[in-house]
Amino acid sequence: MDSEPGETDFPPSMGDVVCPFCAMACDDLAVMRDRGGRLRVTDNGCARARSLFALPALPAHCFIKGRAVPLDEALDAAAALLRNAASPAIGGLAADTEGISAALALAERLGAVVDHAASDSLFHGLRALQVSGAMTATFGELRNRADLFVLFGAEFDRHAPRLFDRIVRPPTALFREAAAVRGFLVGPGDGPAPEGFERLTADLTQAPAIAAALSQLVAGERPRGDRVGGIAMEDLVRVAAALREARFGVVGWIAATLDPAAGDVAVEAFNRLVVTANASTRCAGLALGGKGNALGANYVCAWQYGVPLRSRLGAGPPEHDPLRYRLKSLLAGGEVDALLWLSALNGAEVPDTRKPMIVLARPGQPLPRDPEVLIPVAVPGLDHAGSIHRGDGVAALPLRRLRSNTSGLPTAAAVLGALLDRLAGSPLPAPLRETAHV
Amino acid sequence: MSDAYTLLRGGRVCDPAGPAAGGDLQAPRRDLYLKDGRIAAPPPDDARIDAVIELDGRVVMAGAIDIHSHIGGGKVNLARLLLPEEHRQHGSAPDGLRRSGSGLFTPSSFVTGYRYAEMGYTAAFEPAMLPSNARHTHLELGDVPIIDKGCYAVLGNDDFLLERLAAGATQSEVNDYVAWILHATQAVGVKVVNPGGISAFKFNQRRLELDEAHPHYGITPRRILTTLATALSDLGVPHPLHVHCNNLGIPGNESVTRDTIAALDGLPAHLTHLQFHSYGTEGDRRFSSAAAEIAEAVNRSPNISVDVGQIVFGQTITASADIMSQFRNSGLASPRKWVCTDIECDGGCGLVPFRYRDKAFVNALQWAIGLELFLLIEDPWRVYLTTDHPNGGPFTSYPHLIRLLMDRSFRNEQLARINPAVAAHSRLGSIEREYTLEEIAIMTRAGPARVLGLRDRGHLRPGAVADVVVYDDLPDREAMFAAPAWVFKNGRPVARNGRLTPNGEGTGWGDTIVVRPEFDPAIERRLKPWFEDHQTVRLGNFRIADGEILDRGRGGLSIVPTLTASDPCF
Repeated sequence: MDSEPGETDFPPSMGDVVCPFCAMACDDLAVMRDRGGRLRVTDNGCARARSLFALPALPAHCFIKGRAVPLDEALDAAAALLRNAASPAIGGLAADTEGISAALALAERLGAVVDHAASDSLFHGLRALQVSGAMTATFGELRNRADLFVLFGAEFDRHAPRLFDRIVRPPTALFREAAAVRGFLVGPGDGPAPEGFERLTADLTQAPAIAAALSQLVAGERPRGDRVGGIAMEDLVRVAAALREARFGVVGWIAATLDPAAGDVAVEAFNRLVVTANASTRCAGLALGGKGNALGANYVCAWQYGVPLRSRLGAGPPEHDPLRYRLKSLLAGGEVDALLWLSALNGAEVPDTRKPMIVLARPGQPLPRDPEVLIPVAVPGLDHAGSIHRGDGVAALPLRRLRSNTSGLPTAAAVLGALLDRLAGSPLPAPLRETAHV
Repeated sequence: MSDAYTLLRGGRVCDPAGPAAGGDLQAPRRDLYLKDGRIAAPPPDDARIDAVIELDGRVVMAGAIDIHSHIGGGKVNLARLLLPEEHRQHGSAPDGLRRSGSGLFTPSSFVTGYRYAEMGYTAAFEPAMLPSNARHTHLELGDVPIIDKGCYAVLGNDDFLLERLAAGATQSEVNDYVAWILHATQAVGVKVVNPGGISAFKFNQRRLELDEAHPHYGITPRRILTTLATALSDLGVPHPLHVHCNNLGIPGNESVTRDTIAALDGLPAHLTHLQFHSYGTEGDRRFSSAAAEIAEAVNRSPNISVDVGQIVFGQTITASADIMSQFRNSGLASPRKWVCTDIECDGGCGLVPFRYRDKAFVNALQWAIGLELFLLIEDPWRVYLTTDHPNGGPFTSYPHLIRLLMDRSFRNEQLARINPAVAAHSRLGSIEREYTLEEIAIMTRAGPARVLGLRDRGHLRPGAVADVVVYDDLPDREAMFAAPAWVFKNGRPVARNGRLTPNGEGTGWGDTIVVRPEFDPAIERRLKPWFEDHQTVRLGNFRIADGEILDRGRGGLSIVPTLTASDPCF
């Protein structure tokens, strides 16, 4: 590494900055940096980007049970805690590619379960994929091509900021009239529908039934009944006709707003609807929402180990079980005896658990209680370079360093690497263990 | 760097690209010296030799090179996620040297590197990197240990190129764009997949012939194909256009394959997974082998190289940018789940799991067609061993395929086991040819190295990268090639008897191999607004900086020199 750059090494205004704070991964932000190193989004950021970029790079201490300590001492304490754990877990995983890789390598050393803070939404789509596959398209394709959007969910601005400005109604499009787009919003009535869109108020727990009825209608069948999920059949007939008539329709959903208990069933139904529409025209599914590079964390785990998150690594071959290794359930059931929580980005609220916990977090991360060990880490894309994955699954985007690291915080990858080094001498966990199948 | 040599003493060196008669196994045994990761000339008598390994007449070859294997990137990773059952069945624990991992036909990144190295392969090329997915692909390949790797950028369905061609772009503008893409995506070649067809599918067209106008742009696949092939030739990119022809898998597609060869009209090109493009429509089932006709066309065309895409029986997944074909084949998915994705005005991704069954006529005939191609194409310098991993089967089946090629009685035993109608519909049983070891060395090392422009790989002359494989000369060629006695990567021993071996330095990392032809940077003046007005990633964020690969500390970049007028052509 070269010598530490000073504040003057960074230009006061920067363009095409990538925002790491949600799965939209907008990469067109203009950011100004004042003399104190404070960042300000001056163009193209959403409200979340504006507030998170503006957080100051404060100096931050490591803490052991609320007592400020040097980094080395915190690392020693964390290593001791992990070394003695029988059922460790690594969660949060809100980080860049390198941070995630380092967390997984540590998990492999420990025989730990790995999961992301936002994996419930992720697993709606993943479990549907594991059962029936998927037919999708990416932002760039839809921006230029999609002439109809059927979107299930609520609070689109919060979950998918700038979706309408960038993708649904962009300033320019290659193969359609960008301004003439039509669409339907299916979900709770939470505000006026954008121009060209019609709101169909519905109970989102009924999304599977609604999508199934639409599939039937698109295929030319007539479902029974007058209403499905709160929507009148004649309205669904119009949606189905629009999907058939569209040159390139989209069926999208905000995963976090689906039925928490059966979101995968909804996504399967959306997929069937998309496949049905493709018999005669073009149509694609689009999962929306997500924070903390959740998709990236899942991807890195998949390519390095062959399995998604919610896996136990290092205790024998990688073992994936989307139910058994859901970290929230393991914590609730008292089945974790040491938790390492990684929250270098937003979107990974620290769980309120009394289990011994090591928290690696960006400064300012709210903590429900003092963890055993707290190590502040630098924010990817602000304090150091790296990469993240965009939520539509194809583009990985480069993160730049935008300011000098006056607070001297280490990257998550560096902290995790130091922990791995400290654990290198310890014996590997026994490969044999009891299994209890759910 | 150490000034000491490693001496590999008394091997029978099979080095077809080496000194004269280098492939002659009857020649006297030859000592090989390794130093600083390279093959060295025999040193002076007082040189320090750290290690002497007695080879006792074992067969020595350069590290093998897989020219076409889908080992990383978005679609491979999605395939892993689609099939947790595969990864449940094939997992491995960490053992102090190896990281843990899983998978057989979509192995995880670490396992991919280990398995290749254990088989004596020291380089593999990911053939379908969508430019929009390039950063992900390189991140993933950065986690493939030991072996060198490189990627072919997929062009020919990207809206920028199609729009410029329709607008009458000059060849030199296309050349600049192609060169820019090679730089920006850190690629070593360009692949065209179903030229125009992937884009046409986005306009709801389900099939596109070589001379059929694209529904939106009005240009033909022929035009896309020849323009891209010309671009690579003009730019001096050593690896010629890597072509996945139109109409993959469709009975009767042999005509479009032959038309493609004719359309290239002497331009260098590499036709990939040729087996999937060599189907006729004869017989009761309207599905027949056209291997003889295709092999004949290849034999007559010295500008053409091919890899076969041999199928092996069993479960696998087909993974392709050719979403038009994959959507058409989605009904064949086994298990019944599949993925199709339209990607970024750039390309597509289609995943269809598939089980090749030896008792099914079509699959059994596909198997025979692949072998016919291997055996009927005469010049081993122009036909390379692939299964189009994972599309025809996993790369770990190469030793078995080598035995099929080298051992006629074994081949005919296998032929007798499969669907009996195949023997009647195929000339395979009557082909007497058996590959020699030298021919195997050509098709798995020297040939791929030459067609990729890898001047310091694929041979064992002084100066070459010291990627060396030592085999026991076993009559069972499958056993011989599955577990080489020694594998050296960059001069370091990495595997013994088919298993990774500790060498005190961890498993190590190979290089990412790229090509960087010159071009007029003014092309960015056209590209920058295109990215801003029509894409969802800005140009500066699309381009991959060297540091993104180098700063991870996982292998370097190795730049293939471009060809100049004085170079002997392919």
